[in-house]
Amino acid sequence: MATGLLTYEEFVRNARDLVVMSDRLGDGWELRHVRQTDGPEETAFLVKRICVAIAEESPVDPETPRDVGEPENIEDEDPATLHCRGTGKLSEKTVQFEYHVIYSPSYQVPVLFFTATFHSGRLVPLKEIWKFLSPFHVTRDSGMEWESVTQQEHPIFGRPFYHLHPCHTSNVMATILTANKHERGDRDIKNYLLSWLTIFGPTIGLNVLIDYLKIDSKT
Amino acid sequence: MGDEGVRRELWDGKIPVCFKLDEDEVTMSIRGDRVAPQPCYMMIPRVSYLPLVYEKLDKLYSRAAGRQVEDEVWVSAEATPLKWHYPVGVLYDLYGRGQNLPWEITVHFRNFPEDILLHCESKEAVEAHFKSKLKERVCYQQLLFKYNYDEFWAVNKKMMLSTRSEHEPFRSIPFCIYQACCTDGKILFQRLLPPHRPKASPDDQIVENTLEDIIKLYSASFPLTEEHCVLIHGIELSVRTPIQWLSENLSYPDSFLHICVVHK
Repeated sequence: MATGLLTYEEFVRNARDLVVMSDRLGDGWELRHVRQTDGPEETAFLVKRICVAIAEESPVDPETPRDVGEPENIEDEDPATLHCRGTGKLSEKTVQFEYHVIYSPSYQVPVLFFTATFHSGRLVPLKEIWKFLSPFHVTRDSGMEWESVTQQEHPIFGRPFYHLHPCHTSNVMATILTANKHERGDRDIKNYLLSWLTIFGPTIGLNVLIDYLKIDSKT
Repeated sequence: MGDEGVRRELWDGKIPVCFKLDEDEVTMSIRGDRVAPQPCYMMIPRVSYLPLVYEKLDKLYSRAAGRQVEDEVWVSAEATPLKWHYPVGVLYDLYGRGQNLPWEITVHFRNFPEDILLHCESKEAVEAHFKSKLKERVCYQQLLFKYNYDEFWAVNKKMMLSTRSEHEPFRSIPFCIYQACCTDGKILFQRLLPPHRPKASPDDQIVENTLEDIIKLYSASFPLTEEHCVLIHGIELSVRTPIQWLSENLSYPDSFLHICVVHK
C-alpha cells in the first residue's frame, strides 16, 4: 500500500466500511452498484448529496429572482434535501452538490466527481464553482484552476460532471501511508479511502466529520 | 505500403463536412423573410477535434443566429449532440457512417445541452481537457514502469485470462471503445492491455495479444453479435492484428486506440 495505490477490491472493501460508519453517524454516504447494459460486470461507487446555502457574496443564480418565498414541496421532490445543512431555511440560493467517489482503473486511486445545481435545476457554471471553492483552494487566482477542478465525462454515466484531477493522489497518499508507518510501526492505516477523503474532500467543499476517525481507530 | 505510409495515410485522413446553421435559429431576415446563411464546407482531419472549427463557425453564423453573449457554439448530427472531446473520426464512425457525403452537421448557439456536452467556452477548457487525457496516459506509463508486474496484475488481473509471471518486461496499451447503439453514445470501456500474454513459464513462447483479445474483453461486458463490426479510423481490421502494431500505428494523437463498435 505504500505505493499510494489502491486496487478495486480494496476500494470496494473500504467503501463498504465507510458506509457502515456513515450510517452510524447519519452522514449520508451510500454505495451504489451500476451494471452497464446487460454485461456481468458491476461497478461500485460512493454517493453523497448535500445542500449548501451560499452566502450573499457567493455566486447567485442570475436566472432566479432574489427575494422569492420558500419553494413549495421541496422535500417531496428530493429526499437528499433532508441532509441540508446551513441555516435550515431553503432559499433560491441553495446549491445542491452530489458527490461521487469512483475508482479509476487508469490511476488506480479513487477519484472525486461532483455536480452542483441551483434549485432551478440549472448547472452551476465552472467559473462559479471555482469562486465558491476558492476559500479551500491553494490554487486561488494562480491560473492553476484548470489543473484542479474541470468538467469531464462521468466514467459510468457519460454525462458531464465536475472532477478533481487525480494526478497527485498516489504521491500524496504514498507520503501519508509511509509517514503513518514510521509513526505507528506496523499498524497500517485501516481505511485508505477515509484518509484520502479527509485530505481531498475539503478542497471541493466536502468535509469529513472527525467522528469517523474516532470510530475508525476504535474498530 | 510500409508502416510509416500507414501512419501518414491515417494522419492525412479527412472527412468532408457540410456545416449548416440550425434553421430554427436563423434570425436574419430580408424584407421579413428569414434568410438562412450559406452552408460551409470543410475537410476535417479524422484525428482532430471539433473545437478547431468552432471559432470559424462562430464568425460565420453568429450574426445570422443573433448570438447572445452567453451563447456557446455546439453542433449535432441529426438529433445527436456531438461530443467535442471525442476525435472527429470517432464521431463520424459512430454517427455519420453509411450516410451520403459530405457529412451534414448542424450548428447551434441556443439551448446548449449541458446534460450531454461538456462546456467548451474557451481555449483553456479544450487545452485542460487534452492535458488531462495526456496525463492519464503518462500516469499509465509511470505506473507501468514504476511498479512491478505483480502489483500491476493484482489490479488488472480481470483483464487477462492466463497466469502471470514476475518481472516480465511490458508496456501497456490504452484503448477506449465506443458504441453508438446506446442513444447517447459514450466511452463504454476504457482499459489497458499489455502487448503480450503473460508467460506461464519462462520457456513458453511469447503470445501476442491481438484485436481479438480486446474484443473478447469488451464482449464479456457488452455482448456482440454478428451484426456488429469493429472499426479503428473507419477501417475494419483483421481480428488477428497484434495490438502492439495497432498501438504503434493506429493510435490517435492522445496515444489511445479509439475503437468504434457499429452495426454492419
